[in-house]
Amino acid sequence: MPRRLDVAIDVGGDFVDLVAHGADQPTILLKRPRDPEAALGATVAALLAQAGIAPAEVARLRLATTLATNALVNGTAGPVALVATRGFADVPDLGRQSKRDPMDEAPPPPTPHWLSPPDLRCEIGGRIDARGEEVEPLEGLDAVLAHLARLPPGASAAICLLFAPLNPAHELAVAQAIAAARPDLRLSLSHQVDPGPREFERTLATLADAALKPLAAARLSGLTPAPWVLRAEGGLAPLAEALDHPLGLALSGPAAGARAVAFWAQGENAIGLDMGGTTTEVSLVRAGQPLTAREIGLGALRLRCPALDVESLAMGGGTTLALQEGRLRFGPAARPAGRGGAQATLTDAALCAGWLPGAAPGLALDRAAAAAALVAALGTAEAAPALELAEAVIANALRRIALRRGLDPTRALLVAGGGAGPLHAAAIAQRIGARRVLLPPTPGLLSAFGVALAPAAASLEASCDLALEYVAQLAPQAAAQAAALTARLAAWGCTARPAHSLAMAYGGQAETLAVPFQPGEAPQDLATRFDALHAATRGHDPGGARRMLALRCVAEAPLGPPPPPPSPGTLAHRTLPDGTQLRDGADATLRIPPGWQAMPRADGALLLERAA
Amino acid sequence: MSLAEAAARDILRLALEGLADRMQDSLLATALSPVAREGMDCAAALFLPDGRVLAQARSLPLLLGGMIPAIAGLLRAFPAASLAEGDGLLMNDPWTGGTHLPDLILARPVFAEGALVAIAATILHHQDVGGIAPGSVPPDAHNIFQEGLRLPPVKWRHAGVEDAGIAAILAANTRTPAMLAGDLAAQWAAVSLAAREVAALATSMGAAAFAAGCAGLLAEARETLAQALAALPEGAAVAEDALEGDGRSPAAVPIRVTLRRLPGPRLAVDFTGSAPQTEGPVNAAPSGLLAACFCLLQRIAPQAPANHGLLELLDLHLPEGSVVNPRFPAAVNARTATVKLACNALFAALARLSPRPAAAPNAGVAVVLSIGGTDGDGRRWIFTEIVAGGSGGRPDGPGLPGLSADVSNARNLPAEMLEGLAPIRVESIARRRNSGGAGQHPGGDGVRRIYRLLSGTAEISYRGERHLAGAPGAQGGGAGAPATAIILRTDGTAQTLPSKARIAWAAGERFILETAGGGGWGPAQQQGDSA
Repeated sequence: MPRRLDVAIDVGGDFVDLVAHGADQPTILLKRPRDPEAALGATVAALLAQAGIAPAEVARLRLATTLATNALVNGTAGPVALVATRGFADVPDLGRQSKRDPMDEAPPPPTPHWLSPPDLRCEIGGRIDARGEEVEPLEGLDAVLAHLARLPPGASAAICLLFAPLNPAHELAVAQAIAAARPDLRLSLSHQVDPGPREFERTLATLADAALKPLAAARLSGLTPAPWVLRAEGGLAPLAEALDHPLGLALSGPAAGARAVAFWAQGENAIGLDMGGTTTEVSLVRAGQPLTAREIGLGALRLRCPALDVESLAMGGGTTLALQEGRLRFGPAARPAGRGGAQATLTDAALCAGWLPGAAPGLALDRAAAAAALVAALGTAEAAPALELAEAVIANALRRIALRRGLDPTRALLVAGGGAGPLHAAAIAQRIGARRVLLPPTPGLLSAFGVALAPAAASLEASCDLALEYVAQLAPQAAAQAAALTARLAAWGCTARPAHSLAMAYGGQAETLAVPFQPGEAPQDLATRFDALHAATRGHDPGGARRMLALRCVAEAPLGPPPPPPSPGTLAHRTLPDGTQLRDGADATLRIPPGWQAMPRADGALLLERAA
Repeated sequence: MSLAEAAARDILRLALEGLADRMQDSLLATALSPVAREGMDCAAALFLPDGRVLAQARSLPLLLGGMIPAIAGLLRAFPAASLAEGDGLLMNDPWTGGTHLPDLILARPVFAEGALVAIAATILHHQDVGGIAPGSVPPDAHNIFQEGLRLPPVKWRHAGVEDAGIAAILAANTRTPAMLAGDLAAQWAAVSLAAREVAALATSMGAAAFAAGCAGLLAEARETLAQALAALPEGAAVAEDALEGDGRSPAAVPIRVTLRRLPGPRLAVDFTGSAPQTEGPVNAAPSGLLAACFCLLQRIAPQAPANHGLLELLDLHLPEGSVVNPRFPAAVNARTATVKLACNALFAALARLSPRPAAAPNAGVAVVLSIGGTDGDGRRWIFTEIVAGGSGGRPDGPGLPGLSADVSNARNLPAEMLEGLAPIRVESIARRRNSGGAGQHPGGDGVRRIYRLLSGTAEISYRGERHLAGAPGAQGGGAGAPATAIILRTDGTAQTLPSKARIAWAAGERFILETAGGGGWGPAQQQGDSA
């Protein structure tokens, strides 16, 4: 009888990783450099072959991929036609009128030109008001259909009408008319993609979703077996569902990493530090649960999308070093990462500091060449300043991310993954005041392991604006959300566990906090919980009118038995003259600075603790 | 300086700037008034115990720079030696370093190892602090008493506890007491966050090492600016711009600046030749001009840390009794226009002095709009928003439409937020086609917003600029289109507003606002060369 394997694959920027497990089978782990020219299907097939897995042995294929992220960052998706409310077709160009950096003299436009060319936009009459009531009927459909008639077959269009999250009737009517006239077009409706207020942010997310549709369908269809795909919110969905809402595919890999961090945190508060060749992904875990966010950052783009709370920093082993007016400056990562050649990289600095051994998988490490590159770039082979500054940059970002979510970085467990994470984690922990660092086994496969243990998941959200005392009014809607998600997951062959939450704020506040709740709960109990959460997250409890701004439901279901934790493998021990201990594994080197104690945990992870 | 010392300095700079950014995050997350939470009209910064600015959040330069004299004013009233843990100092008085009355500045001293090591401060544009018009920015005010409650430096909190008497005075002098209290709570949360973190940082480094590190950052700013100034030729350049009236009279209000690159090197900025102080409220307290100069220095030395070291090479002269340094009791609420035009003049003068080609001028002034009214059911409503014009064409590309520029970085108010705040139908938010100046790199377009009042009555406080002449082009580029504001009455007549107006608005009438375009850069190649 052939093996039946549950295969998780993480297609990253530089590497493709695989974790495959099955009943009574040894877990297969594999990391290979990625051929950037190869198509996704060929990449997956090659990796399976290298792992010795026959196609017929793949019972389930799970996938995380940088496809959507790359397309949005590099502008290789789109263009998208836009149907906007009359008078609002320019919303993508006007954005929010501010600059991320106020001193930036040439900021990027709020919406990339490739995403929404002005000649692909049209307007339609009709209005929904701020209470969700129709105040002007839909008007001008024929003109919209005439405008869309010139789109090429299979093109995508975004329908973004004012207040659609409060009442989607107009968006649905427009979509129905377009589908009848042009069934080939791929449509994204703003109330479905991003049911939140503020027209620019919702429009941008909807445009991005529409842009990804043709691309994702072309690249992901045809894989066998049809994969389950990991979405930004940290759950797997069947391919067909993922292709319907492809914005969720953005940050697929980082979400997988966050899942794994939550697993290793074992119920604690934790900060994930997943440092690879190009970027460092920071994720947050409270009491063993990954924190969620409403926005993802992709280069200059901020897109609203339900996601695990992961922020990406442009700092990895391949980050280049340069001297500018006597000061160290970091540049974009050398490609391929870690093999900078003439350019000096952080990996070169780590090599010169004696932190890395002479060889590592996928990396050609040469200490003499690294020293020469450092001298050429910085005028010295002294590596410590660059390493310390890089660690400080990460530590600082980590503090901002954690404190913004009300997570105390001094009490959190720092979980380090990626090829470079275990090398820097303890030093970064020291900078943020954390006393404990967890190094999972095979840290280089953190994201692939996250894909392997991710549940199937789907969510629904509905906007509202109600005082908390009317929470009972939301019960029927909450029940309907739970029923819809239960039915959807049942169609996937899964048994859902729906969980409800409210997005709450004090009257007037712009940013909400998610408060878990059970339909039927008394408003006073929710008030107490919200006040406490606000105090913990924002540092104070101002009181005042409590408002509910959205109702959410998330349903998760385990997808097969979880993979056994990988075994740590054999680590070669080294010690530097200053007392730093180094342990070289197959996919990463662990660095234990003086003052830190290492203790193996039962699950194979290594716990580092700093003496008080 | 060794590489290691340089890295250590960068590490401290990162920590301090990151902290200021976190204060800003905290403000934005919890603030209530729309102009603060949607418009981002608030800012955060850290200061040294002697009042010199140490680090700023990346937010709104107009307010960041404006806090510098305010902290000095607070420290004159409450000397450093008198401060205690948990004090909250509050003020908005333009003659003690404040900006205009809606901007309340809140500061909290930070202690480590028993000594004062820093001061954390925030500034936030509150929705209403009284005066003759809802929103406290009356365009026709002619003295400070019409603009609202003037608060000299007071100790609003002792040991963290609010002074009930001051709280009662504040609540009694605003049309929106709950919002004012909530926004002050947001400011307090932000400075308290900074107090905890700076104390932890200074304790971990040691207070003395922390002070030395801060001094190093100020020295670095000064040295970086000195190098950048040395690259400018010695000499003087003059630039002038003018406000189109002061809100009470249409007479032009010139703003003239002379920029001198002196030996040393130093930079002298002299506003001699600017108009005498006006009866109307366009007078700018000195804090606003200091913010404009700070922005100029950052433009000259973009790599320098944004701290007080930059100001050590600046000689600023603001003639007393002028529109840029008015005597008590001048009206000052509409100062933004003056500061923005001063900023334009500063950048124009720098362009003349500098061998580096500069971008064309931006639309010059963002519209500040406060509208308050009563809906058909008798409920009162109020909001304030800031609407930008186009940015100027650049040597390397076109300007952008509707973009906050130089000292401003305000966000706009989304239609979906605005319609929830007021009985208004937003009929359009659009680019004004071809309002950006023509050019090889055209200026960015202005913005057209059309509002219809659905019920009841309202009063509009409109503060615009550039109604008579648009932003000039650069290097042969064309000028941007001027701004307009019109009320379409229900009988079909159109009433054109001057650049500053307070006007009644009735149900059914449309208010059409068009901001100015940015100047074009370089001669236009052909027709229709737009972005």
